Amino acid sequence: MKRPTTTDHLLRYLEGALPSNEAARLQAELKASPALQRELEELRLTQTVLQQTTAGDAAQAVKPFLADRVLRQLNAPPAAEATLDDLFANLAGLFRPVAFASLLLMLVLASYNIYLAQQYEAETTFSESLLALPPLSEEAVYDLDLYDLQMNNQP
Amino acid sequence: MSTLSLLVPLPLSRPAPPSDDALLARVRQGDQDAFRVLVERYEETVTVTVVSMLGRTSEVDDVLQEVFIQFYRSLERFRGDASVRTYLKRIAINKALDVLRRRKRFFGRFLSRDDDDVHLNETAPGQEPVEASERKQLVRRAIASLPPNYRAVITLRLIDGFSTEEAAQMLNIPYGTVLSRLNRANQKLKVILQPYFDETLPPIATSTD
Repeated sequence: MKRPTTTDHLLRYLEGALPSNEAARLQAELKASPALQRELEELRLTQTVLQQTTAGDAAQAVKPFLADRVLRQLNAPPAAEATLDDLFANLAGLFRPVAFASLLLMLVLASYNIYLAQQYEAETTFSESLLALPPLSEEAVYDLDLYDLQMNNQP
Repeated sequence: MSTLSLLVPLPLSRPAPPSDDALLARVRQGDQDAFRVLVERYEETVTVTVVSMLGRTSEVDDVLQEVFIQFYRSLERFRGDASVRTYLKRIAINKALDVLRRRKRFFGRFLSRDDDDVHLNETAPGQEPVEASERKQLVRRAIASLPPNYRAVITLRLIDGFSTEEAAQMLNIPYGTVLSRLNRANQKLKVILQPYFDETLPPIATSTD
């Protein structure tokens, strides 16, 4: 039974890679069939434009110094394997300056509050002046239901 | 001896470039300059394969670097059964297929929609001739319309010029699969390239008998 002519068959014919008897048979077929001739020409053209276009695109795609970049990567020290401890260490390192700055700010504000309380001789407790709280008024005592507590604490 | 004869340069014979095997032996001994020569020697041909698979994208340079890095790291396993070119092309095809799979995973929906847009059957008869830049666009769209597996076969068989047997070995698939993919890919390419064929080739002569 005669095999159908495949793309590979036509390609091998174009490449001159078909055995002589098969090439002769295909030549006879081509002579008899304009459609097959057209198919062969289309395949030849397809191969040509694919090769030309890809070669042109490849020439534009190449960035200089590829070898340098490859060698740099090969010579780079291997990246250490990240562990959970490393993650916490990195986070601690990240937040340490923030925590230090916050603490410093709190100390400055507390000192400023104490200084103001002393300067105006306000009748406040140490914790109230530290936090810059207003002295506890009589109304606030009733509102907060602290009256009993205050009375009990009085000597 | 006349002074003139001193001024005439002696014919210098340029030393033949070292063979791949000689370079590989030096690389195995840790000579990175030899590896540099190999990279520069095969950079262009590997780029053709990667560009054919991925198109002109920003991923090309990364893939090229990965190809040569993998080649360097697998040199111990490289026995020389295949040529360096074939070995590099095989790595390049596999790397490019990985990228295409990743792309499909992320953009699958969009790509499938694009694939439908690629068909250019709507070209009206009597349209203007396909100019060079338009032809390139047409070719790029034709390649981009192929599924990755078909693209790999077309790249190796049509563009890189490997035989069907070699392509089957490189892709690690049966010979018959390469044949069928080649046929189907060619049919798809023909559909898109038809306007170019119509401009370039004479119409089929009909028999008057």
